[in-house]
Amino acid sequence: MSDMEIRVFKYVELGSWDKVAREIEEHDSMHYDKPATGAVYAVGMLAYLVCGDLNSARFLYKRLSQSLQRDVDVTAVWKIVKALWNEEMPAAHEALAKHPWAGSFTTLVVALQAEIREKTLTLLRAVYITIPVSEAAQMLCIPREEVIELAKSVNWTHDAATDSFTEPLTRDPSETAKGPQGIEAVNTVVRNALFLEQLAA
Amino acid sequence: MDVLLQNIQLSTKKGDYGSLRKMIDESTEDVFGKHPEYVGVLLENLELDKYTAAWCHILSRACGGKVKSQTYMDQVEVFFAGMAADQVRGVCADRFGIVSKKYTEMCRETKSPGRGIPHLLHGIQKIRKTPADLTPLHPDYVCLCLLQKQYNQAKDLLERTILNVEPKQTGVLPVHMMLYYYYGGMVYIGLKDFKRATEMLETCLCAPSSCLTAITLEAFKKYVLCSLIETGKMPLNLPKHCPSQVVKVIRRYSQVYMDFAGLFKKKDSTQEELNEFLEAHKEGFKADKNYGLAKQAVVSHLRIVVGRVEAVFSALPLAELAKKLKMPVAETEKCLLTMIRNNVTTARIDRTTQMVHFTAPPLASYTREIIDELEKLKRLTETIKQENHNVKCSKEYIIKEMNKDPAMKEYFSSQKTKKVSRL
Repeated sequence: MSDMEIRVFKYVELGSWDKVAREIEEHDSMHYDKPATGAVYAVGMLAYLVCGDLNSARFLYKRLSQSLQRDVDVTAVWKIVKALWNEEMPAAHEALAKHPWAGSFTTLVVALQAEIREKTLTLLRAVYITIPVSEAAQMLCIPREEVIELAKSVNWTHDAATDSFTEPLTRDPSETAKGPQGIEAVNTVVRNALFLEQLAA
Repeated sequence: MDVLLQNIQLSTKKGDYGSLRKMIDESTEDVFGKHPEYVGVLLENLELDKYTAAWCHILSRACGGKVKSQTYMDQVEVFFAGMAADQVRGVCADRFGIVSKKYTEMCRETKSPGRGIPHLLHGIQKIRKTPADLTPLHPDYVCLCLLQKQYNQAKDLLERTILNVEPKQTGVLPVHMMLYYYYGGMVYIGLKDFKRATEMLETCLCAPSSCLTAITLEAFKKYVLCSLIETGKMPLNLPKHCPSQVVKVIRRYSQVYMDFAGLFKKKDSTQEELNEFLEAHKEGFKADKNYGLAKQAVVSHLRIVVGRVEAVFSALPLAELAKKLKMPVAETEKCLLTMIRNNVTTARIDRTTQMVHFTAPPLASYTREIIDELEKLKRLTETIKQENHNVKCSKEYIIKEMNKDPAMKEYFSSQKTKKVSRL
């Protein structure tokens, strides 16, 4: 294994996904004529997906030569990328579960599954006021009992009569707030007001 | 050859770069034309850090000869790595651009764009004084990044705002500016950041020019499609600082795109109409390599319809919305999910009552945007203040201001007369 590959797998163990991606990009940039192995590129694509960078995962695949694109691990990850691109979460979970991942891949796969579920849950909370339990379970790709437990953890109520979840009446404002909070907000307002006054003067 | 070498060394030591240029130009046919291998011999005998200007002139003339690609590329890479930038800036900056262009062409011909990326970046970092300077290497670098599909690396360069364009120092020409922003627009299209892509392409359209160019025309076509994807409409007029010669004729040469944008303006245009138009002009869009973008524009038309519904209704049955979008209910829901994920709308769905509720976005979401814009405005104000100060301290401005004052003008002209009489 080359130094680059050793560093990449070390970053995978530490969970530094952005460093994995950066290491592979730098290697491709400086040693364009000495490509790494298919396993390394598959790890790179998965690292991009965990960081939420679907575009970079696509471009990494498209940069590879045809022989590297046919690598078993790269092909498996490409199926996941395609499913995420088409927003087909069940297909993405199936692709993750189906392939026999080994070694460093296991950490990445577990992290990616958690990441996809987290994003899907955030989306469901943003979109739905009420949603049937069966559909939530299908979108999150977890069993019904787990979905009910998950919904309780985010204060969603389970209505047994309609077998659906209802969002809480009052949403936590910090979830939607994107601006600065507290004393930082006061500082920001004062700085910006001074600046605008100077401009006007 | 020995004589040429000695003359080069002498001219460089004297700082006589005018003679150096002339000498190398005159010897091109004799030395480089008949014996291209002499280029390597000549360069080997000239230390790069001391004779950078000579290297630059030799490499720019050698590229017109029969030099081999691999050899030339190796020589240019050594040049970029070890050059003394102060011997290029303002001395042979125009030749530097020629060397970079030829190197990029060779990277493309040998199908090795990845090879050129780190070397061009090195060259950019050496030749520019500040990260806000535009150089002739900028468009070449972004072009190779596009070919190699290393969009993130191109983005790192594109994120830096260009504030200084100094043709005499860096050899940059209007075509470099056009190409840089055109390729930059393509990078952001690849990254699906259509807002930034529109900004880059608009800057390309506004680059100084005395006539419509092929680059401007292609940039305009992509600009139309990116505007349609991002906002659902095409801006009525190009910016005021866009060259008038471009504004007058550009729409005439892109009538298909104007007609396509016109369909988006119509209130009752449907997805079928747009798809029919696309099909009818498929070959044209494919020839311009804009077919994918045009298809994305058709999909983004849905957001206009949803936007119109949002403006009127606070809540609507999902089935009614599906009727308006002329899609099945399940597909409408999926489409809404995508729009909400991409922050196009803040609609919410109640599956129990099968209603879609349209809500205003939370105030906090505007706060972040306002703060970001204010920060940008602060940085821009600081830059303008600094530039204003630089101009006020410049010799030309001081002389101009002094000449406005009649007393000062008379004083200076009397000083000149005294000097002439002493001579």
